[in-house]
Amino acid sequence: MNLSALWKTIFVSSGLLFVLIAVGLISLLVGATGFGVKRLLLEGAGSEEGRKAMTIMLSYRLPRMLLAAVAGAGLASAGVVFQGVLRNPLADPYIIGIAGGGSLGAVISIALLGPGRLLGTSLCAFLGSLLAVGLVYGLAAARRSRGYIDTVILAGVIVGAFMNALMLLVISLSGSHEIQRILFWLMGDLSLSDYNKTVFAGLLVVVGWSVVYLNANRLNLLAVGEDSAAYLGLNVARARFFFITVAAAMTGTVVSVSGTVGFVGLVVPHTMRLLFGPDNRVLLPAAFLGGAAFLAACDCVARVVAYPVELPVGVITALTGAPFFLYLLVRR
Amino acid sequence: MANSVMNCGTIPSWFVFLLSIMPCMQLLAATWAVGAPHEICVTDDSSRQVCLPRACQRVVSFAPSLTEIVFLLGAADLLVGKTQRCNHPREASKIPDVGAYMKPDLERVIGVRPDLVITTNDGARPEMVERLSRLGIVVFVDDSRSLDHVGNLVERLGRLLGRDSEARGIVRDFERRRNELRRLVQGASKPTVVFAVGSRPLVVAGGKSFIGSLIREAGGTNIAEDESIPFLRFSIEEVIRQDPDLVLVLDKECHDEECRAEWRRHEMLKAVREGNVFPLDADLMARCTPRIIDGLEQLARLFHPGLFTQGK
Repeated sequence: MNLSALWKTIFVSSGLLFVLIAVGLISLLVGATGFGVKRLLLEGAGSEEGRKAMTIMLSYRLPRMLLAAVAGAGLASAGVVFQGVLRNPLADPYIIGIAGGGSLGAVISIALLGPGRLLGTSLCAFLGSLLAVGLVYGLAAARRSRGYIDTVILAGVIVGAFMNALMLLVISLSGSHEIQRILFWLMGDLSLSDYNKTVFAGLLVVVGWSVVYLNANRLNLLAVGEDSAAYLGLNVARARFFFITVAAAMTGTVVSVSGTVGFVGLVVPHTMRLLFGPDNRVLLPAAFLGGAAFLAACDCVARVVAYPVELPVGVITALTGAPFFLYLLVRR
Repeated sequence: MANSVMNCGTIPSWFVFLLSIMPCMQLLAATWAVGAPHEICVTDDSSRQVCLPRACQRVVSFAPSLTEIVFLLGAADLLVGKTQRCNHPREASKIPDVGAYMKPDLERVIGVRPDLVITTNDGARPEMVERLSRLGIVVFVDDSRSLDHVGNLVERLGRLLGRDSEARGIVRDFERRRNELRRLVQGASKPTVVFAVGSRPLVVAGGKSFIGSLIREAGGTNIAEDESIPFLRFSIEEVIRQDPDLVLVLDKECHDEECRAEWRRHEMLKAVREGNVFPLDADLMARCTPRIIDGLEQLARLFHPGLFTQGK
């Protein structure tokens, strides 16, 4: 049985890796029509047009595509973890108030701290997420007698709602220029990518994912049921804390560099589960690669479909993800 | 008195009295219908008739551009309320606030008892205009979108505020400077320009925006000229593809050195390599007032540095 899970993992992963690479290449080559890419392919990097195209791809499209892949992978993986630990199909990475906290942090940075460097916004968003998670944990710890999962979900909803209200307050007092920036941040914005951000987020997401994957068995146990897991020898409290913390860190990182991109963390895990089954040992790599491919593709579409206007990536993920997911649901 | 009324055969005196004043009442009513003499009426940009019984005595402004015009017309003594954003000229700070820009406080507006409220389309929502009208406060809505509208706006406001001659002077001066500028830049070559209203993310002023019209007037070519949306979230790749001669940035978002540093990342742009990235004062560029001529001249100097070496 172990072997078949391993083979399945390898099979699924290679397939999705192939998809991811294909999406990545297309995303690199697509953009302003033609844009010397043909010249590049035909004449190599020698010609002026070719060199220009090369620089475009390396300086602008590559970091952006990598950031999209990293963000998608992080959100989808975190989604798998939250759905496993909370045993709730509606769980997504933002469920424990991370989106609310991150948004509040970013909004405060944009509106109140003035025109700071973008790192300022990312840092504030991350701190906001930390605050939200801390509050949720605090609330969950305070209600030790009641069911942990219900408490976490409720606390997440409450903390998220509270942070949202504060965010709306700050927005209502902001000038129109700040409101425009805030709106684009909330809709998900990958256009401000550079290699620093991509590497930073990439490292965190990959490390986080690896740590979770190494404990995929424990996640499987938790997903079956807390009592069953306890009987089978799992230290439930410690496992829960561990998984939620890692997943929250991944989500907070992604939110801080790309804004709140919706839908990826909910739909990709479910899609992968419908396609490949609920075993987390298969699901985690599938969600990682699938999420990366999905968001990279959506970002490419957002960049290209209304050229030269850029659409927000969150709109594309929702518009494409929802119908596809419905189709899968109906088919099964 | 009542007995004499019941007396048939004698026409009661009150009846005679009523009969005699009827024509006078009709005349009065007719006059009211037409409008009292010396009434001032203009049509505002929402096609409403804006009428005041006499020149305005107390005016509230809901927009920084309109506050500037009131001061220009020398009618600052009539101004009893302005928004928090009205920062020019400096004397405007002495006028009490009636709320934030685009969010005027109805209570405070009523509290200063204006007989006229002047606002832009953005400055007050239609519902607010309705409320004010129903409360008996006359509202003038301005929707100027280009330099062509400035003269008309100043004239109409001048009429409402009883400053006709000042208005005429301002408009004459404005048109004169505008025509001079036009003549000056007429034959000059047009540099390509990108006007970034926001840098993070990149939002650019298209041809249909007010700023777009300024660029055209100052003799430049906007790379986003043909877009239908006034302010669009733009792809940096398109900016690189067009490789504009000048990059203009509104200083609201970034100031001087920081701005240039942000744009310095884009080494592929010749404007960046040659140091042609300029921050511009947002308050000067975006307000549809006669002062825009200063902004226009600033743009013209940036676009055609050679034409101004004699010192204009």
